[in-house]
Amino acid sequence: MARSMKFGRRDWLRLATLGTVAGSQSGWLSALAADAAPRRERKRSVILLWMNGGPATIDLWDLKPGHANGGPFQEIETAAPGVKISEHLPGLARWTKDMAIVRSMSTKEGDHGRATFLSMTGYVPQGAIQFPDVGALVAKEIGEEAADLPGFVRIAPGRNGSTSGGGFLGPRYSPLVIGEGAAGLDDLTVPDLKRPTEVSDAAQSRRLELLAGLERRFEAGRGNAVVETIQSSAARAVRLMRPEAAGAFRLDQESDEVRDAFGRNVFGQGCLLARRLAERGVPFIEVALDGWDTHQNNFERVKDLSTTLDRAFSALLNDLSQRGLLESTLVVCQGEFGRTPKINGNTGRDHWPASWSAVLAGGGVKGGQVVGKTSADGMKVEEQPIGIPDLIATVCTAIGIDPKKQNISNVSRPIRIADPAAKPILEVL
Amino acid sequence: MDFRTLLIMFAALVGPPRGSAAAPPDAAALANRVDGHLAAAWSEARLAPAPLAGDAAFLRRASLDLIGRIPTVAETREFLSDPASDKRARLIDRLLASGGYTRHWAVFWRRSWIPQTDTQQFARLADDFERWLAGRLRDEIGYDRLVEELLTVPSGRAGPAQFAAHSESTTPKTFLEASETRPENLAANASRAFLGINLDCAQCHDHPFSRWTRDEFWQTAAFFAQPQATSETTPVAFRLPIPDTSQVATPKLLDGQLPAWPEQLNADTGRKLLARWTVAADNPYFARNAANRIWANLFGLGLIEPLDDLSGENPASHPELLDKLTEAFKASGFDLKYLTKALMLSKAYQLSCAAPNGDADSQDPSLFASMAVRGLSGEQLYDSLRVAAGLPVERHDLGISPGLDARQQFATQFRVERASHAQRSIVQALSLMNGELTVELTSPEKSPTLGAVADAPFFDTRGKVDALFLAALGRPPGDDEAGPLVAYVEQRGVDGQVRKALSDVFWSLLNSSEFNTNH
Repeated sequence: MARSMKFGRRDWLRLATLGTVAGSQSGWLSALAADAAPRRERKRSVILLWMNGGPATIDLWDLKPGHANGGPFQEIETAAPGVKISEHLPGLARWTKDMAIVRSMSTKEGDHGRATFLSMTGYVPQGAIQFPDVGALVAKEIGEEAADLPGFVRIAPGRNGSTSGGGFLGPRYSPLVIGEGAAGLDDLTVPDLKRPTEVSDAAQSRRLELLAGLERRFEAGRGNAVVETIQSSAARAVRLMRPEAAGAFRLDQESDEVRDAFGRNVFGQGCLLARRLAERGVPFIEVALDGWDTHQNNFERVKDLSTTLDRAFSALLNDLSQRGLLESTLVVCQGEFGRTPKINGNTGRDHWPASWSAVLAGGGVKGGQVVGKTSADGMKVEEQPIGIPDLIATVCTAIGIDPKKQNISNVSRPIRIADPAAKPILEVL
Repeated sequence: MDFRTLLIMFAALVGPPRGSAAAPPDAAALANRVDGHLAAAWSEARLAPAPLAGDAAFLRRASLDLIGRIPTVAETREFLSDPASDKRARLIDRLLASGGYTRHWAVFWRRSWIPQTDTQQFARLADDFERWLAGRLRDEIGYDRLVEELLTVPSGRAGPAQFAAHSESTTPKTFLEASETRPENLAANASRAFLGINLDCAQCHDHPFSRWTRDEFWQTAAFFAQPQATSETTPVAFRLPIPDTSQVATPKLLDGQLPAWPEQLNADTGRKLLARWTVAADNPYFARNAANRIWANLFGLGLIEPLDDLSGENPASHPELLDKLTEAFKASGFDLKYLTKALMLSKAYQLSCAAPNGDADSQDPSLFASMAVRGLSGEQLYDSLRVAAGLPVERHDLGISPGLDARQQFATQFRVERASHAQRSIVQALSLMNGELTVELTSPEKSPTLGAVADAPFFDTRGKVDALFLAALGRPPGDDEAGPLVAYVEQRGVDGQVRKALSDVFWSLLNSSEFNTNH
């Protein structure tokens, strides 16, 4: 912590110097851009495709054709021999060699809020402890201090999430949230990233110079962690405003062909944005697809959602692969729980944490396999039950993070990235 | 005359209600005790404390701490020009008697007691709770009674009539609702909030380093259980099965005592007994926890950290001092204003932020030899931004207004966990630099401060820059600071307009860490 704070202070001073020296000439922002450090060796990234509301994984990854619980969907053969998935995921069927399907997820939380909290943080809510999201933990471990882009970006989250973001790691690792409750593609932007129209580029530069002057004076004798985080976040915000960094969010720089491939909807374009961010070294990106809480009319809705998911997920894998990024990018697809194998009176499925599936694809994962097994009726996990902490430990191990590493929490107790009892799923690593 | 003015006049006529008629406890004497303890600690550490903060710094600090906002230009000018030697004490009295105090501390206590109300799930409970609590603080209800009211509010659904449900005189069920009325949640939350005891780990297992056992956790939780078929006088009625075991817990107090059950048991009996034990003067944790939290709120760091661990595992940094504060608080009848005033009258509270040896990093903060620089809560920052711009503060006791939603949104976006460890995110920084609110507050057309400064014929440029400093930072600039700013404005900025140049200066003041911290 102390070291990163120090960096923030130096960062700020450098920024101030650049402002006064180069500001008059070509604008302060571009001056900083020219000074940007050359990109280092690429680290791994995680893209979490978050199926908000709890997807009926029995209709996606672990079908029960022929059983009363199975519903109308058929299984199809896929690129990986013996691995079958839903007929409504034909695009992904070509990618199963790069995917590990975990069919034995088993948890105890059946409430959206608590289950989401568990999935996102790896822990159930405990009093005042502000558990950070896994994204924040990953950002802290493999994010680079000098990066212009933040380490954790959350795209188009639903409104009912109740996670704590950076939690006890602090807002420094909180997600940059884009398109919360996004209604359309125009909402996939960073809030307040552009300077106000009333303020010219030159005026903005001078404002930052004036600010830097005030900061230099206030700092004297008062150097303190709170002050440093304010200065460092301002410097990082300015970095994010740099055209190169801000450009990461410019989906219009992609060809129509690529944009179409992902699907012209919030989730599809969110996945494309996730690829652009992973490409630029952002360690953790989450993209949400909402609408999986199918208490009624499950099959029609899951079919629609499957189509959206299939198109974007397969385009993402394809795109990552073509750019040589698939090996270093782990894609996780999961929701907060599964849904009742038994079909209810409204042709719906209700909440079901006892047996469900999650999917890992790409970086660091041995594809072409299925982990665990559910019973013929889908009600029970018969082999190798996997809990959320196990899944998180697997994700961490796959990207080279020790899941046993401890962080000091807001209640001053050390807390491990994944629960100490967690076991990574060895066969997928 | 509008409603707001009427209300203010009415409040002025009636005046604040008074508590007991007994002689008020002597806050200045307690302040001296605080300084005595700390002076001894400093001398032992061979440390010279920071000098006393100047009047401007003190006014800003006291205003942020007591009423949750920076002082207005008028308040600053008046305080700085007041020659009286007792003006700091009088300021504390005036602020403690104001509505700003009750509203600001209602937020503080809500957050300390029921931190869940800052989450999306329970945020809807916050407003009613604060309104009620502000009313109780205004009426100077003892802290012990406050907590007892909160814990013993009837849990029944059939409450008072609809119109009374949101009135400030009805104790809200917030504490129960935010714990989902589950015994284990209530036990954990009540112990943490009111006793400074963290039972969370004991819920599932005996923690090797903790005094609290799993049995003790469930015995505490059993007070909140629904009594099963109350029969005759048997207190056995309160029973709580311990999950994943075959055991059943019955109520037992954390000090090992069994409660004295009344003849007649009803659904709330267990809760009432536990509440009475909690707030009793001989409870070893109750007053101590309050004193430690108030200290932490004013000094940045508690005398015991973490705040929810008074079990004895973490000794107090100044044990006798905490004992003294605890005793004095109890002896005063749990008088919150008395304790607050005493702490603020101490020299320790009035020390400058400048570290004695010039390097804040190397100093042990638990020696309190200089004041901690603290972050602002979202509410403090929002209200201070408005005050700096010359706009009135939004208040939820004056009815619903659209401005309150904006304040709520901003406060959520700028929430800080602990002021002394406050961190700022990129999105927060972007919002403060480029966001709609900043655009509005730095517009000479919309910011009364900026408009008045820009148009004032009687100010030269230095006078204008001075006025903006007073508005934002509560102090005039030094010559070295004013120099570049005056030059910038006289060159008409980069857009050739004095008004825009002044707006640029004001923008940099509002984005500065001096503005964004309590120091």
